Amino acid sequence: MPDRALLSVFTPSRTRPEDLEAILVQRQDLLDDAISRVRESATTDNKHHLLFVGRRGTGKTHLVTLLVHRLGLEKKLNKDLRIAWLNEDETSTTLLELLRRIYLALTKRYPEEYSEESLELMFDLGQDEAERWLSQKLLKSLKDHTLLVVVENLDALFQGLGKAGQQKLRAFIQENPVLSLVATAQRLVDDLTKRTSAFFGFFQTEQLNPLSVKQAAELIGKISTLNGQAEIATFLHSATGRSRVRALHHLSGGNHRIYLVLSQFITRESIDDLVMPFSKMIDEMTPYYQEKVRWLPPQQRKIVEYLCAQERPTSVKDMARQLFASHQSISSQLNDLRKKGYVQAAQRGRESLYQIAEPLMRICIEIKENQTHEPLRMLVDFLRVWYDGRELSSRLGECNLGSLAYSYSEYAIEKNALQGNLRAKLLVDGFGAELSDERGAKWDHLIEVCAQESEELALACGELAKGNDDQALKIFEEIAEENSGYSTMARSHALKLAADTYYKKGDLEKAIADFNAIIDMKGASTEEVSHALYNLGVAHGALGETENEITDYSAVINLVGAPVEQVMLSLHNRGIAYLVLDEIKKSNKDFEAVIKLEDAPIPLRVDSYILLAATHINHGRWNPAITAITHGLTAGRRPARPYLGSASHVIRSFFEVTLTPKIRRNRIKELIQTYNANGAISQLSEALTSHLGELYKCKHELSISNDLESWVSGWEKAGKEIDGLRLPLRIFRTGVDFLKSGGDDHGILLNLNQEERKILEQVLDLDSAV
Amino acid sequence: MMAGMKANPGGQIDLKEVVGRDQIIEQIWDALEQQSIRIVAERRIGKTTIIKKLAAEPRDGWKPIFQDLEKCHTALEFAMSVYREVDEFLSIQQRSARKTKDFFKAIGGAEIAGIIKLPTFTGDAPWKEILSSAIHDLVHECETKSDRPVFLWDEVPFMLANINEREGETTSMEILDTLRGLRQTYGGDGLRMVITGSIGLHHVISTLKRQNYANSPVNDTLAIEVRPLDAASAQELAAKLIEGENIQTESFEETANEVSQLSDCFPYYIHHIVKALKLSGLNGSRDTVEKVVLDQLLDSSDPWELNHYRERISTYYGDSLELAVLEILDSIASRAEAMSLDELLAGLKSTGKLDDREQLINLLRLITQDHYLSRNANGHYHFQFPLLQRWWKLARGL
Repeated sequence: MPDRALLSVFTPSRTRPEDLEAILVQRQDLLDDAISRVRESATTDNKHHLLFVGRRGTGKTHLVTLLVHRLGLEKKLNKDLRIAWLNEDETSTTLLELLRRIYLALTKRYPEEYSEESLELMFDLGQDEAERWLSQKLLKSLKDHTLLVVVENLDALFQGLGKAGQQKLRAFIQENPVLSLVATAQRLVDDLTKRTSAFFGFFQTEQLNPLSVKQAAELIGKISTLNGQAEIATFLHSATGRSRVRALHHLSGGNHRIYLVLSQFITRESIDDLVMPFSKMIDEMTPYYQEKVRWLPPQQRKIVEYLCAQERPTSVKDMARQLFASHQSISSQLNDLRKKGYVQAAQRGRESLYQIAEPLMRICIEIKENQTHEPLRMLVDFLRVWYDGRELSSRLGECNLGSLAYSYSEYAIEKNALQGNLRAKLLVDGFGAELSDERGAKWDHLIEVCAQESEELALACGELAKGNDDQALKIFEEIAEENSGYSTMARSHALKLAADTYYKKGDLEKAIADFNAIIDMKGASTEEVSHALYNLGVAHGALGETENEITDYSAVINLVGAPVEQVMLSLHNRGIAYLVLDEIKKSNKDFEAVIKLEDAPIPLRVDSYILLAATHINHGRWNPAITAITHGLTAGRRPARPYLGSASHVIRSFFEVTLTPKIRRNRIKELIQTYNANGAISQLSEALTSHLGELYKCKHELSISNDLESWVSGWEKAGKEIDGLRLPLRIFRTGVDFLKSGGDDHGILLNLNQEERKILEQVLDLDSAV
Repeated sequence: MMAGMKANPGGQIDLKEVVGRDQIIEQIWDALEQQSIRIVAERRIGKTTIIKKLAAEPRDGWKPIFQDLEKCHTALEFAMSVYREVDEFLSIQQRSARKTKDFFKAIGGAEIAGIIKLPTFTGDAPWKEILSSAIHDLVHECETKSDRPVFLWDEVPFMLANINEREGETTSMEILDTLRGLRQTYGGDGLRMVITGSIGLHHVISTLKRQNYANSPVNDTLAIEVRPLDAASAQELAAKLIEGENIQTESFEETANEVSQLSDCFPYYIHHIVKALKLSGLNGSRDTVEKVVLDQLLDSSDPWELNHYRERISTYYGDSLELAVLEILDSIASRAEAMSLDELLAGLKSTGKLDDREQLINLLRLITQDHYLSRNANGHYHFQFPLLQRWWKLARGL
């Protein structure tokens, strides 16, 4: 195994450049572009000035280290370019100091050309003269070379120089066009952005962004590969691996430096290996961040300290409450803090949530506040995210009592018990932020439930929520595999979600295969099996495989311990399936069984009554039909939100039965009375209207128009006194007249006004025909 | 075709690669035959590049002295800076700034090994004398009269602002007056100055006028306006940069044309667009150029620094007129066609922002001078730069 690469988290310039190259992510194009511009600066009279802006830990030094390294490798450039790479920890308050730093940087890199001793003369001069002397010396020494000045923390440099110093520097650059600057800064300060500033518009500025989840996975993968741990790189491509990185991402905020530290743990897996570099990082950063906070106005300081203690982004409302301040004042302070770069906002629907912009600041302020020397929160959270409960317990067993590893594992287990599964929470939060309000409302709960079972399931649901069906199905497949290592519940859940997705996409064969897989799964619960059987029935029904459909529903009905709801639904659907096969007795038996079940939901009972009534009508049993309709509508009227079903089957059956006109008229009257008495006239009118559509579809198979005439006139006579039927009957009459004309005479439709005509055209689907 | 070069917004441009400025450069040299000039232009239009090209490729018989004056924070610094340039200029000709050196001696100063040590001044520093002597030496000690010196002074308004801050407006006024006096005294002997800067000189003078400065210190200079490139040059520049950046495109000409049009032919924006296109990784086409431009206009970090056109309004026109100016610009931005004075006045009256016709005329003159607006053949007002109008509409939510 190759030696572990020394990845100096804090001083990339101490890491071997080859290793820095190996772990470069996200920035290849940017780096290539920068180098090509510096190359042009060296070989032509074009001089580019580049500025890279990014918060602490976003890899600025990594970038410039590689830039200088690569330029150094180009031997041909040596005759055109001299590089002065300034020490990032120093700053300058005058142009003279800066020139001196540049000169000293050149002595380090080109000792045969530049010597520190040659600067001695300068110290006998006054400041202005020294400045002129040194600038002349520097320019002369360059001969025909272009001078590349690499300077970090440009914002701090400009602050040190002040306005006058900046102007002198800019004038020096303008009067002596042999310099090219490559700089980094943590933020775009006024010295760079204000129009009246000397360096306004001077630099080509690129923002360095935090890592995305994908890039973070790539970074950790590259570090692992560098350390000869290809198996970790492979792991990161699995659903679990991706899920882990995603959760880490929430903790780290995409900060390169934190990932570098965490990667040392991921690749070594010893908690001690994590604590040491983390503590060192914090020791170095804390004074800086404390200083940053110290000079804030008191209320802003309170807000920053409060947010540092929060695990999640926080709303203004919560902040105002906890800090005993008004919403308005907190909001205004946050606005200011955001401009200053202390906090950042994320949208959740219409609400803005705030968090500390730099994760490193959060850790360091936490340390300051942490008087009891409890384990570092971020490290504990990392363990909670990286390991599941079982793994944590197992690690605890392997540690020595009293060791760091032991206390961290123990604390992580405790915290999980108190606060729940952090990984699941982060996943849910993550998706919540990515989904729109509407989608979030639809999917949040499912994602949360799945996250409790398995984060990969939640991940897959998240992909579904975002509309990435194929991606989700891939993950479901991985989970559902027999030797995947996931629990039976997770596997069956994955199969169910996959089957539902296939069903919605219209891929019924695959949906059926997945339902069958659940049914055949060893250890699947009765509930899971009955659910799968039911859905299988629905799928077979959609394929027109009625026999199979009936078999499936029968299996549910006969399954011992099947949930009552499933049984009821299966009875109901089987009844409909029997109707299709014209097995009326069996169909009726099923509907009656549903009706008899006290726990049956009202809609199911109402529908069963109505369907029962339709079969009665079909077989000439009018009175039982009316009785069934009455019972159904009565039952449907009871709850706070009445459900009165659809009268379509009743109307269809009624129309198909051969009756004398007189009997037909009487029965129409009775039907209208029954529906009217139960406040369900609108159901009747809807059914009549949609019936027209059915008739129009098979207009060529209709019996003679006299039949239609007696049908419509029966309704007109019986319904003329009923308010709720006037409009539908007018439409019905026109529709029937149109049908009687063979559907050819569109002038008939003009009997209706525009709105009524639209309704009829829609029902008859005439728009597409016209 | 000329070899390409990389996009370099804000940087030092290779003077051999400058496109589309030959005509104005010729115009400047022609004008200098008669008098000194001041260069008037919107920021980012390439004034400094032009000045540097004047310095690097002078016409026969001219010796340019380029200085970036923002480094000067006091009148003495300015005077000494001029002296040093003069001294160096003359020493190349094996001459010396004799009068000035005598003056130094007279006031107790000394020059050793090229380093000048001046005494500490208890009262006002004798900067006028130093400046005047230096100019005198320059004009009279030039070996041949065929080598005429011309000062190419960049960022003059910054210098005046610095001096305002450090030493007060009186000193700024005196500098302007002294320079004018020197031009008058030595103009006939060939002294020339080219004064330019990023902030409009007229604003600096207006500020001084508010301090009861009655002179017109630059009215002896010819104002030469640097305008955006002509369409052909803009396209040429865009093409050069597209090639230099190796941007793949199916129609080179179409892409270059789109860049030049959407940039309003500002070299700076041309550089910016091409660089943004390069970094986007997209192939060059009308659509991708349009996309890149829109992204830049909508980018909240304001990479094209267009926000200053909004921010500077109260500084330029005063708080009391800020709302009126905003309304004028909003109205014109929202309309496809130019607006007349009467239309603008009617609008302002109805909202109570302004009801004085004369005041409006003056205000519009200033706004036009500051390059927000220009006038068409009918005298109606429209945005001078479509790019700015477009940004204005987006930024103002119109």
